[in-house]
Amino acid sequence: MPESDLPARIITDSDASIMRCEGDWSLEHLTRGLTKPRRGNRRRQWSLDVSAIRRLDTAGAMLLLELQERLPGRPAFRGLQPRHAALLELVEEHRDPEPAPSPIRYGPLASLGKATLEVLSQSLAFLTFLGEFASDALPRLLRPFGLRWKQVVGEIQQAGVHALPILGLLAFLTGVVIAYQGGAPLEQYGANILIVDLLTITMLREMAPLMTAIIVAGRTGSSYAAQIGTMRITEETDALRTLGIGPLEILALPKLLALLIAMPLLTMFADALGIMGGMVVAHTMFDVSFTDFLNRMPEAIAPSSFWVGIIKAPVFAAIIVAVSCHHGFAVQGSAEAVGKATTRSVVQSIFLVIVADAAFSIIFNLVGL
Amino acid sequence: MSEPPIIRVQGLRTQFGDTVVHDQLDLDVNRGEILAIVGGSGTGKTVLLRQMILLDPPRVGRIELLGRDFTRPRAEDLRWVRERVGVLFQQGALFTAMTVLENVMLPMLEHSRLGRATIQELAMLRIRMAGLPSTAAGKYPRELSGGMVKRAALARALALDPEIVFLDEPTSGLDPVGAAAFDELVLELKELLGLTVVMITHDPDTLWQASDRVAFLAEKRVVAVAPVAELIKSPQTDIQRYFSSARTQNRRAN
Repeated sequence: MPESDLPARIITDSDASIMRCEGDWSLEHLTRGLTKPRRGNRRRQWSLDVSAIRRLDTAGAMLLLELQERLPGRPAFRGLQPRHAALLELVEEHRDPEPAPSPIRYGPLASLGKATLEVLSQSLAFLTFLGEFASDALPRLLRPFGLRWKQVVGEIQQAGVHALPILGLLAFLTGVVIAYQGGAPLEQYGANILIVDLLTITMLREMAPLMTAIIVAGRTGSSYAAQIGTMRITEETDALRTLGIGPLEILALPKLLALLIAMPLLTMFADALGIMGGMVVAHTMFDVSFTDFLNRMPEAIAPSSFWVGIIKAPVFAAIIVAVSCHHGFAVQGSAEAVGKATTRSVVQSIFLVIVADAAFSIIFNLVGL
Repeated sequence: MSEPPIIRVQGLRTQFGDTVVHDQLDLDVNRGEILAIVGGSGTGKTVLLRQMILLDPPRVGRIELLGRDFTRPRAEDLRWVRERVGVLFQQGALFTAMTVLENVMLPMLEHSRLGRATIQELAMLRIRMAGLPSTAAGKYPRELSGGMVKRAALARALALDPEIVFLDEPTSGLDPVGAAAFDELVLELKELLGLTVVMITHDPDTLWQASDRVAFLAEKRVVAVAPVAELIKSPQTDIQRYFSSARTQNRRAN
């Protein structure tokens, strides 16, 4: 029925004291403030003529009732069509005398208190999760044949092999940058060859493990949190429990083992690519040939530098898995919670990785490595 | 019927890979009726519904809603039709990050020019019309029972005073009492608001009590459209098999 649109209108005839409602009183044609009577009109007795209303829906019916209430003496509707009367009755019946419940708003002090308590309870929840995970995983680790190695291999593929291109590229570029930035001041003293020392020490001890951890936290940790969080919402984790399979054992433990294996390997890969990036710059910009570079390397660094870097990797791996799985399992209720858990897992694991890295520096310094 | 059908599906063909789900499917829905779509699993009921609510465009065939062609809809036409069609998804599909009230207010805030206070009042009206207590308005979907989720989703589907409402298995997951109450609610709203209702259902009670006509899907098309009392007399084997199952028989005995 191609009918033209008629906006809802109220025509006020002051002489006859009649308000005529006309047009389409349906949701899309209603506008704000339509049924607010003008100040001067509030005092008088009006009669309400609704015979010219063409379409009426529940929204229009509610506004009509509102208009009726606002006018003095609640004038009856004149010329009401029978099908409109039924609708008005329906709306009248279901109209809510009490206002909608308004959400509770907290003041600044209350918000601060809530936030503080939340941080505390979250830390507590994380410790609880760590305890649960450890008590669940340790006895299983003592019987390595019962572990789900197939799944571990799959996770290594996902977290390790598939991360190689992006990690390799980033490590290579980091090496390039370090060599550039460090090379220029060294060149002023004619100490170009010391680029090797600078590059290998920073790469092996700090940059490679840290870069690897950050990439893995962003790439893999986030997907762990999202996966487990979604499974929480769809009750898959509960289903696992009713089937007599521990969710931690099947979801978290293989991930932990996979990253414990993959991250040291990824770190070595980042070491190699980073040094290669530096070598290219040293060769092209600072006249340190590949042979010179490689000859200098054993003199520049102690083997301990390599191990200092590698030993951090499993610790970072444990941090990433623990944090992301914790946030995944903590998801409750809605899709929004999954998003939040993912963000939190990435931010917190990177934060904790850097804190751990600082702690390592202090410890290595104390023991003189 | 002198009036043209409010929904007209013609020559629909749907195919996933090599599997043909619909072929030469025709279906007309009349204004003001409750049409139930039934059929065994895998006969493409949900696919057909998704095409009728313009979520999946048909590859071959024609879909008309409210007298307009929506086979290749333009954006403004889509907006026009979205204001006139309400959908109740099987799982409710309420936005989990919003309260029930906010869920019902959202479409009105998007599509109407009324003030916020009026919209809130209208939303409360819908919520109560859907048979929910006022206290449910401030709750989040996860705090509601299955039946209440369906009612809240119905309130949202009715938010824009639609002319057509699509219901995907409205009574699935409800207990018999809740399901019967929901059927009654749909009937009542259809009478009072003049709605056209299209629903997918497996519930024999719903078919008998709350449907004007039943469209039976089999052999990749709609093999019959008739009131359920006529449909069960049909000699077609698929229909006989569907209605002769013990569950449906029991209902009829009552």
